[in-house]
Amino acid sequence: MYKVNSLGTDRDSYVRKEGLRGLIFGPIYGIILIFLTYISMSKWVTFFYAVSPLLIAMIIFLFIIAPLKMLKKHNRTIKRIRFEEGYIIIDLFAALWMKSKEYKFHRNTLKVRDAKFHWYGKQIKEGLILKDKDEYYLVLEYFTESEDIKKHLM
Amino acid sequence: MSAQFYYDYLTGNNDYMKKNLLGLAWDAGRGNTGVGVSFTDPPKGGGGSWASSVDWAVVTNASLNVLGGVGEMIVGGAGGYFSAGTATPVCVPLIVDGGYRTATNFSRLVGCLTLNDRFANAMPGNIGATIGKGIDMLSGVPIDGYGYGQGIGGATNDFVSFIVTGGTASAMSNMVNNYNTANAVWYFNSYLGYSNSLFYDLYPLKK
Repeated sequence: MYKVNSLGTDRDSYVRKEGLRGLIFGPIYGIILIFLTYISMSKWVTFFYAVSPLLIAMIIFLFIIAPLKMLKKHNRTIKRIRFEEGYIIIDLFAALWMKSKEYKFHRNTLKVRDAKFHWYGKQIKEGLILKDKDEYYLVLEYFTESEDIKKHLM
Repeated sequence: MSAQFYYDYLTGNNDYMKKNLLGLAWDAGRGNTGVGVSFTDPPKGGGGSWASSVDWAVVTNASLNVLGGVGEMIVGGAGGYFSAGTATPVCVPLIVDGGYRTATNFSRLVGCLTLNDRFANAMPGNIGATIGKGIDMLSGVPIDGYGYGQGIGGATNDFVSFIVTGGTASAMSNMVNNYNTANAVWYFNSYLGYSNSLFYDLYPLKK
C-alpha cells in the first residue's frame, strides 16, 4: 500500500483550514462590509440597491463556490492506493463534511492518463487521472514511491 | 506656555485650548460654505459633540475606499505573482491606482474626522477624479468645489479599474483554483471599493 507523504498531509490540512475559513469567515465578513456599504450610501439608497447584487454575487462566488470547488477537488484526490490481484483500491481525502471514500476497480475497467494539475498550489503538479465513472486525481509529488505507482498503473 | 498651563488644561481648570485651538478645525471645516457644491448636508449648529458633528456616512465611505485601494494594490500584486510576471502591464496600473486611491481617501477620512468636511468632500478619490478636478478648476470651479469633470473622471477611473481587475481573470481563476481566503477577501474589498468610490463620484452630481 502506498500512502501520501508529508506534502500530501500538508495539503490536506491546508484545504481543511482554508475551506473552513472561506465558508464561515468569508460570508460573515462580506455581510458586515455590505452593511457598512449601506451606511456609506445611506444618502442615496437606490444606488446601494443597484450595486448590492454585484456584491452579493461576489460573496457567493468568492466565499461559497470557490471554497466548495477546492473541497470537491480535494475529495477526489487519492490519499492511499494499493494493488491486489488485478484490482486497484484507492482511498480519497476527506474534505470537511465530505467523507473519505474507498473505491475498488478492476484494472481493465480503469482508464489512466497523464495529467498536469493547476489546482494544487501555485506550481503546476504532474500526476495521473484515474477514470472510471468519475475522475480521481493522483498527484505524483504526494507519493514518495510515485515511480512504482506509475509502473503499476500504466 | 508653562507646564502649569497644560496641567490646568488637563485638569479642566483652563479652557484656553478648547476655546481657541480645538475650535480651528471646526471653523476651517465650516467656513466659506457658499462656493461650489457641498457633498454633505449643511453643517450642524455649533455646540454639538464631535461624534454628532462627524458625517459618519462619509467616514464609512472613505474607510471602505481605503480598504478598496489596499485591496486593489494587493490584487495587482497577486495578479503578477500568479501569472509569473506576464500580467505586469495590467498589474502595475492597478497597484498605482490602488496606492493613489488609498492615499486620497485616507486624507478624506482624516478631513472628515477633523470636521473639515469641505476639504474632505472636495478631495478627488482617484487619479481620474484628480484629472477631472484640474479640468474643473480651469473651468472656474473652486478648489474646494465639486464639478462634473471630477465626477465623470472619477467614475471613468472606477469603471476602467473595475474592468482591469476583471481583466486579470486568469489571475482570478488561478486564485480560485489555488483558493486562499485572504486573496478572496482582497478581491472582494477591491470590488467593494469601486462601488463605494463610484457612489462618491456620482452622489455630489446627483445633489
